[in-house]
Amino acid sequence: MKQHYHSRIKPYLLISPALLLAVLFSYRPFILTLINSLHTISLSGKHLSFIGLENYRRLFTNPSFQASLSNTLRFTLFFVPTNIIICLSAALLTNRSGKLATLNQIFFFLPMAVGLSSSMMILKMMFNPSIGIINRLFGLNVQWFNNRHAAMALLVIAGVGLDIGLDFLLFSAALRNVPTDLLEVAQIEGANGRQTFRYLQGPLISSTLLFVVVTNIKDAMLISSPVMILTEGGPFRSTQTLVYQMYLDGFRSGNYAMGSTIATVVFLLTFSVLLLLMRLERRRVYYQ
Amino acid sequence: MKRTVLILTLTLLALTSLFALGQGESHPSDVVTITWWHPNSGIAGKATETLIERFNTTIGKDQGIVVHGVYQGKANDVLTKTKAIMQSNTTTDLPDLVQLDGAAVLDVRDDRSLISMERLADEDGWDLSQILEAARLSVTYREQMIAMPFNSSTILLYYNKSAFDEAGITKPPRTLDELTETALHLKQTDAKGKVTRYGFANVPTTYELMCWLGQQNGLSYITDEENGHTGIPTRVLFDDNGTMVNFLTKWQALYDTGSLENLTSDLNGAFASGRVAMIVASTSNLTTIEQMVGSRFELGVAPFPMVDERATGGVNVGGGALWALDNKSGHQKETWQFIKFLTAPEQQLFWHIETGYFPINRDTYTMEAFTQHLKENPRAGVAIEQLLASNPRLQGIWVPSAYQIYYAFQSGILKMLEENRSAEETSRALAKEIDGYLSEFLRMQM
Repeated sequence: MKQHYHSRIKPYLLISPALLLAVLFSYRPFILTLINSLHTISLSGKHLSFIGLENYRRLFTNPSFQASLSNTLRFTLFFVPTNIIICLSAALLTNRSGKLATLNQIFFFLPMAVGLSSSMMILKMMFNPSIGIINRLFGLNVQWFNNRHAAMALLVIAGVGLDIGLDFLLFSAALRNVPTDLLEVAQIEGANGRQTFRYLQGPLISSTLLFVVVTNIKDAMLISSPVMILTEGGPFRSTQTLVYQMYLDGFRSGNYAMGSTIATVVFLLTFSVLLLLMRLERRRVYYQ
Repeated sequence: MKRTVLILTLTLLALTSLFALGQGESHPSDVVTITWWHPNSGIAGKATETLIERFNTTIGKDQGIVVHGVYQGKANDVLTKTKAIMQSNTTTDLPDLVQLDGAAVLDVRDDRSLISMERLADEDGWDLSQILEAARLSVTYREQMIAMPFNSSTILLYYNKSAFDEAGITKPPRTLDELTETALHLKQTDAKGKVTRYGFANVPTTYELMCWLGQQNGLSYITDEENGHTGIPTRVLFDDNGTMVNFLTKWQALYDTGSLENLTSDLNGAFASGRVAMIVASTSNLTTIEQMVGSRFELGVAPFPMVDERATGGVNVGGGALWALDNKSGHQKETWQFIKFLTAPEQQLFWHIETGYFPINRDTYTMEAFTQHLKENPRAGVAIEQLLASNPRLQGIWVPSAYQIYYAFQSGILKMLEENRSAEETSRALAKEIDGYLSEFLRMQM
């Protein structure tokens, strides 16, 4: 009896530290945020009154929020495919043995070793329209921080720069795991590079691809730090994203209720996009 | 055995270092340390250090006060850190004195740890009328001077004098109508019709509009409660009193000439490179712009252009101020001694000459050395004259959601220019959006 009791309590005991941390730092704040979004809150953080969905109503009629929403969706739409194409191409190109190939891999992997803030500061200097190296090098006259499209492009470049290290590593590892005997068979059968990728490598790395797509969408929907350092939402709110607006409303203006409301909306939005994607997984992804 | 003794000795030695540290914390009881958090770096940082050293070696030495200046990053960082402590209720960590921007007013003015500057002055029998009226009113909330103006600045027109001479323009523009005409003359295009030099560059934000709206009809308020200086603003007035429509009509005319560039960032760079012939910027940018322009062309400065002939209000005092905080140390009198020192005519003259921030003490203006300095630096003189000629009641706005309002102005005005909206429609839309932020803040008060 005692033995039985022990074996039943043991798993709970083992997961309890992790569960405690999760409850303390993830679930509890999440529920508090949800509750906050249904109240008015004073500057010092006191709940004033319950107002139901009033915050949501105000949020959706706010032109600033409409801009944030459309900017975030546009960013996601530009960023995810660009990033995947670049990272996957880099991984395919460096997917060979030899010392030089390793060197190439290190090049792509290296950006991960630079801190986010410092790399963004460097990027900001590089893209400065008057004294930056990018305009000078390519003979351009692009007002990177003053033109709405250029600023969005810059943000995509920054996003790719941030994600390339990890995503490249994941694709590289996945490609290396494709069994060499299968590749040899394909070669003997006379398959060209594109066919090999389409029928062999592609399907075999699809689980990694899904993972990268999912994390990329999450990153894109939650992008804020590059915005904060590079463009501060400008020009004309063209790079103001949802999480950046949450930061402005919640922390700069001290409006916790509105900040919490935006956080909840961002969560629901990201969650539903990811749910949709996970449904796809069942049909399209093969596990070895 | 030997090892145990060794470990024991080492442990004891290590422990003594803790005691030593503990002793370092307490000061001899007759010296009071005052902490001042500031965002001053570069030229201003050096001037700050000099001022502190002057105090510590003179008045401070006599009265047993040591001022300890701490650079806490940019103005915004100083605010973030101060706010964090205020909200955490561990107010003993607060500095005795903190230098904050105008944007910080809403965050600190109602905090319990704030000590009213007027009270400190009153307790010492110090006459507040020594301070320039416009500067004093710029930190006055509900009839109380809550801070001490310190790094004060105004807005100026910077122009490329060489380009003016080339185009045969002798005088800088006084009004927006004149600005439109001047800008058109200064605009240059290449063979393909692409603009190579714009006459003027700007997209008005709160900073410019405080003046352009406030100066109309002698004095106009942007929001009720006198721009938030007598209470929490509940609605904007610029739509009802027509100041916004009047301004936007002039602005549209300027844009229609094709000589206005809708530039929001790196204006100094665009101006210094000669791509833009005129900009408006803070007087605190003077030294930077002078350095950037160098010998590329002759730099000129002029008063900030008026919206029209009836807009005689002038400009408001912007910049930052010193806030005294209660950190339960009971050193308020000593802090006040230091503030008094910083505000004295001689120190204000030094601060002005070093940094370009204008003196807030009236008595500085009659000093021999000051008039001499203005003679040698006519550009600084332009800013001072403009300020003295302005209506002191023209004040900046204290509104919540300052960032959102800043971008609301910018995007609203751009929309008008690029999507052909009318001035009336734009004014109404802006009023509606900003009223929303104001009501949002009112909801947080109840």
